[in-house]
Amino acid sequence: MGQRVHTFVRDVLEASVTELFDSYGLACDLTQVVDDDASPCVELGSIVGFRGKGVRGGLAFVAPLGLIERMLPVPRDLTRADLQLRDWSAEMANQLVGRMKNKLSTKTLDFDVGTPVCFTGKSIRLVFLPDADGLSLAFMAEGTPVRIHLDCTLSPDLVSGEVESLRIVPEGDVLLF
Amino acid sequence: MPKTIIVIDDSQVIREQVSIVLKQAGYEVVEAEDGVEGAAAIRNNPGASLAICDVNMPKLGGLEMLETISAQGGASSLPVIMLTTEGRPDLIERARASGAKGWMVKPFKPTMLLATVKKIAGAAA
Repeated sequence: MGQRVHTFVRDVLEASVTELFDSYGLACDLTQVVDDDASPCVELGSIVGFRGKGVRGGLAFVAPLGLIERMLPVPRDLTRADLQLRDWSAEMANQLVGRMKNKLSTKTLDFDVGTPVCFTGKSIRLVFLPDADGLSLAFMAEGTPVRIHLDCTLSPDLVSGEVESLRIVPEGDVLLF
Repeated sequence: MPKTIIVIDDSQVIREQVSIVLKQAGYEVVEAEDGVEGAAAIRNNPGASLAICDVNMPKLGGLEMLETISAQGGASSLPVIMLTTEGRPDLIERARASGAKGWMVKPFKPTMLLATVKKIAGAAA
C-alpha cells in the first residue's frame, strides 16, 4: 500500500470490490495487499481514470477471462466472445469506480470518471510511477484471483480538511421524479 | 402494437441485459451506444414510449444529451430514465431539471427495472 493513500480510501476500495462481486452473486474476499504481482494465466484488465476536486488517479480491474465470463449477466455470445468479455471487464471497472465515487463523494471530494480502456495478456504486472500513491489489492472470488490497482492522489487540503457527506443514492435504488 | 423503448448505453452487455428484460416483457427495443446516437434514435423514433440512458458515455454523455435536446426546443415529450453508476444529488438534479423522469443506480435488478418501465411507459402493448 502506498504510504500516502488514505486508510479510508483503501477501506472504501475493499468494501466496493466485495459489494460489487456480491451484487453479481460471487463471494470475493481480500487476500493480501501486494506491491506487485503477476498471474501466469490470460487475464483481462480495464483501467478507468478519474479527476476532480481534491483527487485524481486511476483504477485497474484485472481478472482471468473465466471469471469475467462467470460474471456476465447475459448469455455468452461466441460470435463476438472477446468483444463481449472486454465490454464487461470495462463495465466492471466502471461500476467499481462508480461505487467508490458514491462512497467517497463529499462536498470537498468529487471527481469525474473517464471511459475505460481494456488490455489483455499473460503475466500482466502493473507498476506505479515513483511518485504515485499506489495501492494494489489481491482478492479471491470463489477460488479465482482478482487484482485491483488504485493510483489515487488526494489534495493536501482534503487530507487535513473536514469532510461532509452527501446523500448519495445507493446502488440498485430507483428515484422517480 | 408493442411499445418501443430506446436503450442508450456505451456498454453492449448492459444494452443487451436491459433489452432481454424488456423484450421478454413484450416491448420493442432500439439501442444506441452514446449520446449522439441516442439523440438520433430519439429523433428517429417519435413514437417511442421511453428512453433508458446512461450518464457517462463517450462522444456525448447522457446528461449532456438531455440538456442538448432541452436547449434545442424544449424538453422532449419522451420520458427518460437515467441508468448509471452515479448517485450524486447534483447530477440527479441536473437530470430532473432537463426533464428526466427517473434515476436508477447500477447494478440494477431486472424486476425493479421492469416495474419502473411499466410505471412510466405502461404495459408493453
